[in-house]
Amino acid sequence: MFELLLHGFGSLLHVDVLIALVGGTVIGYLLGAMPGLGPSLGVALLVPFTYGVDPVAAMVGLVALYAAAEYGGAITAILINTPGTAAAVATAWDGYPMACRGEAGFALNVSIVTSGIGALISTALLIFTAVPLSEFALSFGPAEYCALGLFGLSLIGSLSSGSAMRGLFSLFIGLAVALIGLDPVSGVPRFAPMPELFEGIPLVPALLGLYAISEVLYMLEQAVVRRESMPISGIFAVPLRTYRGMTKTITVSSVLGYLIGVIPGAGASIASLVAYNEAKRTAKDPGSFGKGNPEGVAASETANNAAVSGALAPLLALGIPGSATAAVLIGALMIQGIQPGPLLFTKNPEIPYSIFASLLVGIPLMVLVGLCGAKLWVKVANVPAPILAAIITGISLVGAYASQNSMFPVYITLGFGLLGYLLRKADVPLAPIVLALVLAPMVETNYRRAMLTSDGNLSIFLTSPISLVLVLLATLSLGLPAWRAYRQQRREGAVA
Amino acid sequence: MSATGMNLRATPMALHLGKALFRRILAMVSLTLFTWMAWSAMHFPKSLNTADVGPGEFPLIVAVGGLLCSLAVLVQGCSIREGSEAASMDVARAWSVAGAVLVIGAYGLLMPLLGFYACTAVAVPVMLLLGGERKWLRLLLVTVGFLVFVYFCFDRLLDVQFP
Repeated sequence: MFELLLHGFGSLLHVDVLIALVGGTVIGYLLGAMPGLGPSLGVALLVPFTYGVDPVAAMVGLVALYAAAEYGGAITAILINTPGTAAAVATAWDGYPMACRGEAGFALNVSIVTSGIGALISTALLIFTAVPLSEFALSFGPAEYCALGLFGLSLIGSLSSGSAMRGLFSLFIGLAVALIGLDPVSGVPRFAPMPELFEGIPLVPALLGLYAISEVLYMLEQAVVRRESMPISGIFAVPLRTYRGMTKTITVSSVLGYLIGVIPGAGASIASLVAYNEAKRTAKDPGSFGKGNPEGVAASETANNAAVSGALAPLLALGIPGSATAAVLIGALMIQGIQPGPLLFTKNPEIPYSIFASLLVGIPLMVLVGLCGAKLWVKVANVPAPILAAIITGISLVGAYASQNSMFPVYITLGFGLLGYLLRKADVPLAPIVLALVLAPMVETNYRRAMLTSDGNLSIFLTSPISLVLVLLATLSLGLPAWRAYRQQRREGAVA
Repeated sequence: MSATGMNLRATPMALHLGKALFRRILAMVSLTLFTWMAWSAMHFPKSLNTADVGPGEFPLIVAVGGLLCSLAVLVQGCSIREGSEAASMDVARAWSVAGAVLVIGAYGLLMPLLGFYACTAVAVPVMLLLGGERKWLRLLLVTVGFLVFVYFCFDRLLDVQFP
């Protein structure tokens, strides 16, 4: 493993990979700092630029963008109380009060440095867990893969923001869309009246529509508002001993962030909220949280960046995305003709080990770029919405066209853009659709293979211990929200 | 008030919709589609291999699940009290949004006929105008800048053949 990791470091010495690393970091900050744009949209917009690019450079650039965008949301959260990403909501609770009392530089320093520490700790966890996980997954058969996919799908639906029922609704819409195309076993066309649909709905154009075009329509609803941000000073004047007092918070938040990031559908926003609540619960002075306690900023930012590496673990080792952004990364890998999963470590080891190396090198770079460019990122948040909307629309449609050099993906992007906008208006989350598009083929194909192997006997899912555990967990994760909702209703009925 | 503090009811060209009604419509459309999906799945040819479940089983499972969820969304839509905060679904600057949908749609449909660069040269400034941009210099700079960027990045570097 260490030899392969050294090879990974060696690949960073190529000019194109270095450019991808730096470029991805800078673009990630820019996108993360703009409210409404986040890592999912950023990665989806950058994927078309990776056509024809070396796979290592492409993945290094996209992962760097993911990590930097996840951090970038904290900048506007602290300075103008408008989180750039959902994962920075908890950062604003303490970061903005700190900025209001003249400690904006201090808050930014804490957020950037703790993000970096959290990302480094979780990268170490990623390196030491992904490889054994992929080796363990080599023993998986069709039943285990089907059960794993089902477990992932069950979590996505129940962990969605807002109503769990609307999350499940979104999940089934995604599953229905994923079924369009030729049946993987018999080749029968399913819900595909034209030849262009025989290969199914193309993933990247659909993602561009769901995230980019729907966001453009949302942007057009906003009037042009110029936000005044807090002055930044003293960003480099924070003594190191400040962080000694936060060691426990940073360590716990890093581990929590990594573990939550591993869970499909959980993501950085849940990680930051859980870590914030845990830090507050165990703090000596919990009442100070929400009023400008730097540990609140540290907990949230450490966890949301740690979740990035967490989401990469199941992606690389199992081929299952840990977040919607990771699902977009799967699309990018597939464009390069690379199948994520346990065989990635044997057939294309340069990809995961370059990603590990790029994270270890890129995170200190991310901290440096963040600290030095703080004043620039704030200005970026004030780019007029009409300009952003026009550019994002253009890049999305160009990217969709470039994916297949034909107009069909462009129409897919348009259709999904409208669908995404309407669903968001009805408070239906989009992440389950994305994850269903990625996981559904894996679930069905392996289900059919398992049935062929067992001669049509469903007990194959129960006789394998791994499959049995996963099926039980899937049943629990689907049943638990319904059980809680039922108990809540009974309690409310009893009170009334 | 919106999440950004905008008073949507005072915003010109805002469209006020009932969220409950919208959810009910969404639920009924999805009920129809999932019903059609289930019916189609039951008519897919069976597999010749008796051990294979066939192409219709998974779509049927998904259709049933989708029908149940659609019913739940319909019930949720019926349970929202009209007039409450949760019942409001405002579309601020509705004409801008509708205009953008038309422009983006026309852009996609006309591109094969008129060519990518010609369509983009018209669509980008129109999108900017719909967004509220009025400075002609910005309109010009953003349009030209975007065209140049796409030309060098996609046409020359990535060798994408545009219509």
